[in-house]
Parts: sequence; structure tokens; C-alpha cells
Amino acid sequence: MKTLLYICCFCWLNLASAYAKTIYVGADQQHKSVSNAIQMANAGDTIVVEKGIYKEGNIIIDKPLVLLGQDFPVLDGENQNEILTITADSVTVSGFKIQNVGISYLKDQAGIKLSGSRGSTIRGNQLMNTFFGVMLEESVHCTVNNNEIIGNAENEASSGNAIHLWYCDSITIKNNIVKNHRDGIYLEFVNYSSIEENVSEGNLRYGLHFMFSNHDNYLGNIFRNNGAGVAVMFSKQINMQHNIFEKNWGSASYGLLLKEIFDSQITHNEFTENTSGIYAEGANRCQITHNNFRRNGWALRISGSSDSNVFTRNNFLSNTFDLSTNSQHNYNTYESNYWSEYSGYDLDKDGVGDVPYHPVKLFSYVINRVQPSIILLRSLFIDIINFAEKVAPAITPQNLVDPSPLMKPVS
Amino acid sequence: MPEFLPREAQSPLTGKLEIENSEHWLSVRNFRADSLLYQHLSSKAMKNLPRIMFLTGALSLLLLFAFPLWQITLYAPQYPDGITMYIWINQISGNEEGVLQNINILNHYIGMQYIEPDAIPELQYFPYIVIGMCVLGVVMFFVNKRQGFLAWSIMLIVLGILGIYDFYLWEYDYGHNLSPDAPIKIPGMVYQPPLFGQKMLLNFDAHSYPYWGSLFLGLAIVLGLAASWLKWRKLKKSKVTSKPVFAVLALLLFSSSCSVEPQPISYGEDHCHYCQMTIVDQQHGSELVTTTGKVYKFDAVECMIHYMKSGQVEKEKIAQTLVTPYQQRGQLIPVAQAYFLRSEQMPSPMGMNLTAFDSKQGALEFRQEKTGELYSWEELYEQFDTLAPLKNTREQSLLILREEVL
Repeated sequence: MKTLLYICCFCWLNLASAYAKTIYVGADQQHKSVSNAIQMANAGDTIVVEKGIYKEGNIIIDKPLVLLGQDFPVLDGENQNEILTITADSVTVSGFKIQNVGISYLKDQAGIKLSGSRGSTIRGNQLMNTFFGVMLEESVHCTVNNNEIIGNAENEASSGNAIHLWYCDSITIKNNIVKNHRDGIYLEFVNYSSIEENVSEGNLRYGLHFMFSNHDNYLGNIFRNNGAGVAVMFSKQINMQHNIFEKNWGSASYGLLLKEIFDSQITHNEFTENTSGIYAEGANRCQITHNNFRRNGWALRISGSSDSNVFTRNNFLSNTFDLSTNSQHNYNTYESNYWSEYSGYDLDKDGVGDVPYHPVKLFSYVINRVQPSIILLRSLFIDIINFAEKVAPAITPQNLVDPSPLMKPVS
Repeated sequence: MPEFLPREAQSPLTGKLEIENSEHWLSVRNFRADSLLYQHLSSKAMKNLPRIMFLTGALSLLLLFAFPLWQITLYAPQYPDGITMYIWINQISGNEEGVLQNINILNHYIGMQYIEPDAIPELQYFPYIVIGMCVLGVVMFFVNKRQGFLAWSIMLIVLGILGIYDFYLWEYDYGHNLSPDAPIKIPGMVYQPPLFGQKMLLNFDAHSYPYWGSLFLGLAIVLGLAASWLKWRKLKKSKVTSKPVFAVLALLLFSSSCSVEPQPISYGEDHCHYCQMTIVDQQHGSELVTTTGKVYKFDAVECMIHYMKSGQVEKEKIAQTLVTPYQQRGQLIPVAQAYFLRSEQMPSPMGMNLTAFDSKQGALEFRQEKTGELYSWEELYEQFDTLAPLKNTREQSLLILREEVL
């Protein structure tokens, strides 16, 4: 079915290309304005825009066209309007510098907005000071790749999201750089989509934010210096692999926030230098494997409402606390992880420590209750109470143990 | 072999535990983590700065027992160096032996009463008030609430003003309440020493100024106010205040310093109390204020209602329920005035598509260009559980599109 469709498309494109023409826009060309050229164009035409500054907002693309910028022509909205609004299918926009979208709190204005579009591509553009960068509403099978979307750093509080998806399906977001917005990439009611190899940093709230979205992948992204790295909320079957979550410092900051999330995979990620690596509330049936947690305040904070998650073959390296929980019960499985804090022996040389490891320290409970007590960290007194709790667990969940702690990190 | 000892701790030679070695081993291994954590903690320390300031202020009250509050110095030809009387929180003394006696003899000539420290009840009970404030300060330090700091500082100001007024009354009484049998009588002459400054009383030049003790009292007030201001600037959610403390405060304070006031939401800083999300959307923020003055902030009306229905806060303890009208970003109004539009085209932060307006008129006008249902707060709260997240009409068509492409 799919191949047939592609063949059909291919034939149609070939047919179309016979009639398709290329229209040039520029100071010395017949067409001085982009809107003008779009009006004159037929479906399937290519519009090439030469270098220059085009102070045009509200450009509406309502037929399948290819817009190409030569040497990054500037489309400037003069802080008044939305710039490109795409309502047609199969539109390509590539090679533009798009800047200065008007801020409006009653309608969400974007640098490039796709509304009800299928099979469109937004590739290799630079967006500066756009309220929302690239926004997709009710669109399917679109690609947003290799764009650079930089917000207004002084004014993050009144900026939208760099890439914003609402009711979309099968979207690919790849190789973009998104900075200084509210959320770097935001997905609400978005299914079967993939977010790959983007760099998201310096955003006010989250580097990446899922709401009510299912069956999505995010792979190989870097989330750095955001309010918090990634938030996945009220979502199912999200695949998170090979991402880097780093330097999300702050009293309420995390690398990854999970809330009401089901049946997801979190594998091969790096959590480095976050206040909390993963903070989970109501996470259920997730597989957390082959991740590295390095130098975090808390590698994991798992609330009592999280159930049936499996933590295995992860490396916990030099975290202040490997794990803290707010409950005396544990319904999750921890096994065969490497814990750098583990101090047992492996006398039978099978690569697994001979005594189980209790990752929850009593002190982490104390801190949960009385924040300032963190000042006592690494004091003799704390070592003593942790030791006492270890010998005779009274408060920490007794069944929260890794029965087979590894002696060497998982490579 | 006990599991909790570092491997290096068991010396292969002696079989003894080598504590230093294990210490060293721990410290080396944790060094990176520590230094990073301290980086992180230094921001924590900044967060704790107000508390530390406050405690310093509270403890500096104890210095009132080490230094006099006030000094009155009399210069006269027969006392070229002046004689100085010190007024403490708990006693009256002089700069040398017999000062009080001398002053009393002088006073006797002009018919003033003797100054008898034992006869001044304030000197008996003021110390207890100071100790009490100091203890309360320490309690407030542990409670760590901005309102607590502020209340304590305001109490101290009130007490300070009362103390000064009381001092003035005593001075007035001494200066005006003259014995009719005085050896020296000058019609219309009063001998009230100045409260602050310098004044000639007959041939005496009286100087009256605050002394070190007052400085420490002032320091306590300034530090207390500064701490509460700093805390207000970097307001973070803190632990629930124990009710007795607040009750005591409320009793002690008739002022409204810990009154039930809404707090402005600090966008980009505050977190939704229900869903943990940072609140950034300035058109959907909501807030609950309890009768004890505790404030809960939410990023959306739906989060607030979820929280109210979760049973984590008793309904009768809610003093105020506030929402942000869509067209007045960042402001909060009571829900009684608000109308709510639930419209497919109006997303809200947590997917329930609820938008508040400050009047029915405004909501109706807005609805002219959107579809949707209108609710009053009561209706919304009643029917909330039956409202599913709105399904966008195009979701079906999206699914169909998807099927087609696959």
C-alpha cells in the first residue's frame, strides 16, 4: 500500500514537474514581494527568494509550493504579525531567516505555522525572536529539520515554544537547535512522532515537553541548562533513548520529570549533573535500563505512586543520593545495576556483589522532611544514622534492594 | 564480612579496621560529587541567608542584658564631667557608684520622686518579654515562614514603640508629679528630662540618647524585616507551619501581618502545587489561600480543582479561590466573579480547555468567535468530574489520515 502510494506520488511529481516553473523573487526581479509571487504561482511551482530584507508578515501559503531562500533572505514581521502561515499540503520552506514575530496573547503567532497540512517540510531556516518558532496544528507527516530557532533571551517569560505541536501525527523533528523559549519542543496530543538529535538549551521551562501524547520516540537529543530537561506527562509508550540530560540545577529541577506515564522505555541515556536525574510521580510499567547517572544530587526520586517499573543494568556513579522515595513501600524492581556507593565484596568472582545493596539512605528521608538538614551531609552524625538504618532498616522500604549489584560498571 | 565497610577498610596485614584509610577512600571518591553538590548547595545557602539573618537578629536581643538601652547624662557646674544614668531592660544604673543616690538627692531639692528601680514594675517583666521574643524568634527560625519573620519583626517594632512610650510616661510622671513640699519651687517649671536630645533643666544640662542596647534592638528589627523581604523576593514553598505557632502569633498580633492574602504568582519560578510544572502561562494561573494564610499556586484552573477535590486541603479551610481572567494577564480575581469558557479552540495548560473571564459579558463576547460551553464557578466545580478532556473534532480525521498514509 505504502509503496504503491509512493509510486503514485513519484509519478505525479514527475508529471507536475513538467509543468512546474520556477519563480524568482528579488529586488531586481519581476516579483518584489514573496506574497505576490505566491499569488501568481500554481501548485507545484518553486519560488526562489534572493538575498535581501522582505518586510512582509502574514504570508499565506495555500497551495503546494517549494519556497527556497538564497543566502538566507530575511522575512521580517516587524513585531506585528505572524510571518508564514501554511494551510496547504506538501509545502517546503527552506533557507530563510525569519525574524520579529508580533507578540499576542490572544492568538498564538508563529514564525512558521502549519495548519492542517500534510507532508510539508520546514528545513534549514533560522528563526530569531519569533514568539512561537515553528508551530504545527492538526498536521500529519511533516518534517521539521536542521532549523535554528533562537528566542529572545531577555524576554523568555513572554515567549512561546520554539517548536510547538498540537494534535499532530507522524511528525519528524530532527537536528534542530532550539534556545531561549518557554519550552524548547512542546507536544500536546501528538502521536507516532519522532524527535531526534536536537539540541535544546536555555529554555525557561522544559527542553522537551510531552502532554497527552502516545507512541512517540525521542532519540539522541541533548537537553542542557533548561529550567528542567524533559517532562513527560499523561502519556503512554514513549521511547527515550541515547539522550543527554545535563546541568539542570535548581531546587525544583530535574533531568527528566515523569508524571502519569505508562509503558515507556528509558534506555542508554546520560544523566549528568542534575539536581534530580529522574523524578517520577505515577510512572507505571516503564523499563529503565542501560542509563548512566553521573554526579547528580539525586539520581532517582521515585514517588510511592510509581508502580511496576524495572530498573536494571544502569550505572550509578558518584551521585550524592542514588535513590530517594517518599514511601515505605516499593512496587518497583531494581536489579543488576552498578552502584558506585556499593561497598560489598565479590568473593565468588561472578561479577555480582555477594550482599544485596540498599540504595535508599535514611538521610534522604530526613532531607525530604527538613530541607535545611542537607547542611549535615557527610557529617559523622549522618554516617552514624545511615549506618544504623543499614544494619536495622526501620524507615526505608525493606524490599527496596538490588539483590545483585554489579561489581563493574555496565559498558 | 560485613557489607557496610569499604573494601580498603580491612587491613590485610593486621585484620584491623583502618578508619583513616576508609575516610580517605570515601573522601577521594566523593570529591567530585561533593564539589558539585556544594555548587548546588551554595544556591541553597543563598536560599537560607534570610533565615540566618533572622536568627542573628533574634539572638542579638540577648545583648539587651549586656548593654543599657538608654543613657541620661546631666551636666552642671558642680558635676563638670556629668553624671550618667543608664537605663537597662531590667535595671537602672549609673556610670559610677552612687550616681542614682546623687540624682535622687538633687531630685529631692526640686520635689521629684526618688528613682527606685524596685518600684518600677516594667524592669521586672520586660526581661521576660525580651526572652520570650528571643525564643519565639528561634521558633520562627525553625518554622521558616516569611509571614513568621515579618510578624516577629512587626511585634518587635510594636514592643519597641510601646517601650519608648512607657519610658516617656515615666519621664513625664517624674518631671510633672512634684512634691508640694519641695525646698526649691519654681512656678510652672517642670523637670521632665528629654526623651531624645538635650534640654536645660534649671542649671542642669540634660542629655538623653539611646545606648548600645537600642542599637541591638534596632538591629534585630532591621534583620527581621530584611529577612522577610529577602524571603518575599525569593519565595519558595516551605513546610506547613504548625498551627499553634500561628495561633500564638495571631493572638499576640492584632495586626494583619499574617493575614490571609493572596500572593502574586512568580511566573517562571513557582511550581504548580498539583502537577509540578513551572508556571509560565500568565493567562491560566490560579491560587488557593487557606484560612491560615498558606498559599497554593497552580498553572491552570483544572489543576486547582483537581487539588481541591483530592482531599489534601479541607474545604472549610479554603479562604480564597482565585483565577486569572484570560484578558488580564497575571492578575487574580475571586472565582465568584469569574465565568469559565470551555472551548475546543482554547487550549489550557493541562488539557481541559478551561479559560476564565472576569464577567459573563466578557465570556459571551469572546465566545462569539469560538464554540464552547459557559460555566459559573459552582457549575464548573459540580460538573468537573464528568468533563472529559475535550476531543478535538479533527482527531478522528487525523487518525483517518494516518491510516491512509500507512
